[in-house]
Amino acid sequence: MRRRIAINFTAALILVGMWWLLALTSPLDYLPDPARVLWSCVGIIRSGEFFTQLYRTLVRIMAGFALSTVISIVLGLGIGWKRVLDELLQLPIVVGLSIPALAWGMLSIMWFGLRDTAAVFAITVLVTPLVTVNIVQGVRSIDKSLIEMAQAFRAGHWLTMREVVLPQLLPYLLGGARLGLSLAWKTVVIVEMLGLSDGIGYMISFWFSMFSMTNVLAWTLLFTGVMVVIEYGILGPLERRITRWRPRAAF
Amino acid sequence: MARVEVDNLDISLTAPDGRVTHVLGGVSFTAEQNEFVCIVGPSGSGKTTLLNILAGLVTDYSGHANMLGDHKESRPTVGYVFQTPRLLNWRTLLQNVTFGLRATRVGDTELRDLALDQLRVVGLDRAASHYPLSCSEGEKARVGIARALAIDPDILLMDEPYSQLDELSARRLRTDILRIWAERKKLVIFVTHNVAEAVYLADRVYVLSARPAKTSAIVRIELPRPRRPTDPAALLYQDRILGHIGVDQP
Repeated sequence: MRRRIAINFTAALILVGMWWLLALTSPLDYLPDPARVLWSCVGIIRSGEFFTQLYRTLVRIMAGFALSTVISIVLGLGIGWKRVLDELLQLPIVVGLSIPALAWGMLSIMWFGLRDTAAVFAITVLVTPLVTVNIVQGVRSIDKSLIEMAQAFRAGHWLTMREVVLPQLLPYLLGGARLGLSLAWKTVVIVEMLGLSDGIGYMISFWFSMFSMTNVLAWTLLFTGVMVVIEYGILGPLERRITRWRPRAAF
Repeated sequence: MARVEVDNLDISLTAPDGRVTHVLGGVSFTAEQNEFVCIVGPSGSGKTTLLNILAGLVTDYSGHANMLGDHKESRPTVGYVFQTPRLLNWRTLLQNVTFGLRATRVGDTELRDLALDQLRVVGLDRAASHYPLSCSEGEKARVGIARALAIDPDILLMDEPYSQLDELSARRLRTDILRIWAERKKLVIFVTHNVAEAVYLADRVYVLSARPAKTSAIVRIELPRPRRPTDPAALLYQDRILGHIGVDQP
């Protein structure tokens, strides 16, 4: 644990160091140095602006993410268990995976107007195929001999689901959540840039139109910070908790 | 009380690629309360399928597979020990043993005690909080047995439970199962391809032919217990059974 913190800290230090070096050697204002960006981050946080915008963005992400998770679980179980659904949905999923986020963003704004619904919709349609594919993989890798075991012991559907099926799906669900969250974030920024009047994406696009690289970098950095906190504060510990039973390789 | 009557069992299985195999072609046997019955036969002769039918996992057979309990109505409880342990790797040994119990009956506190008792029977009560992946194959096999015993079944089905183990662990577990069987008076149906194992364990040995399997012989083992695997009389029984299976004698 200690060692990992030290390594991560070193990695961050190297990144910032390289950034600084680049900033120092680049002519004029191509790249503001880390201190200036950090200072404007502090300013954004102290003004309260950051939390207001973060809240707007997170609400959109979470709504879209939750919706697509539910849909993906239903679709994933269906595709994994019923062959007809698998054959029926194969093409739609491939198509869904290949439509660019920008296209969906534009379409949803045209359909739903300049509202939160547009962002939520765009996130849902973009994230769902990706998470579904993950869950289908999980369903396919379920050990049938264990389900047979449960049957031999006359375990009901509920017990089998909770003790046998779900634990085998959890790693895939978590993997799907990781991919889903990162895609949801990229999507929401696009929609906010295109048509909404608040949120982190909007702020980045606003400072872009003001041509303030320092602020663009500061907002990006701040949101990245949030994602890192989600990863190390929520997803990571969750994963360690649900894979407790796996003997850990010593390193 | 329990009794198993299998009469003229016939089944064909369809593989995922559509190939149909005629697995059982008229298997009949009976097993009584307190009896230790071994079923031997060449690999692929449908021994596992037979147990799966008895466990209710396979239903599209013809013929009869009846399990009779005390009363006409009551179906006897069945414990199944699989060829591989089939444990839930994400649950502790204790939780694995309780799984069967939770499926059948009883409240939470009783559950724990019953499961611990069973782990004690197989000598693993100190490892109750371990996870399967940190256990040896022998330990996992014993958990599989404890899980089946925990539901206090009338009938215990065992599918080559020791075939994956080294000979020393297998020997230990064979004496264990005989001890448990003697104490608890179960009906045990034990499938194996190991003739020496069958002679060591069984009251009666049913010999199955190759696919589609029929009952080709019934051998009653009239050796006093405790038996010794190296008893010359046991070797004679082994020869007889091997003769029935159709293995050439030197």
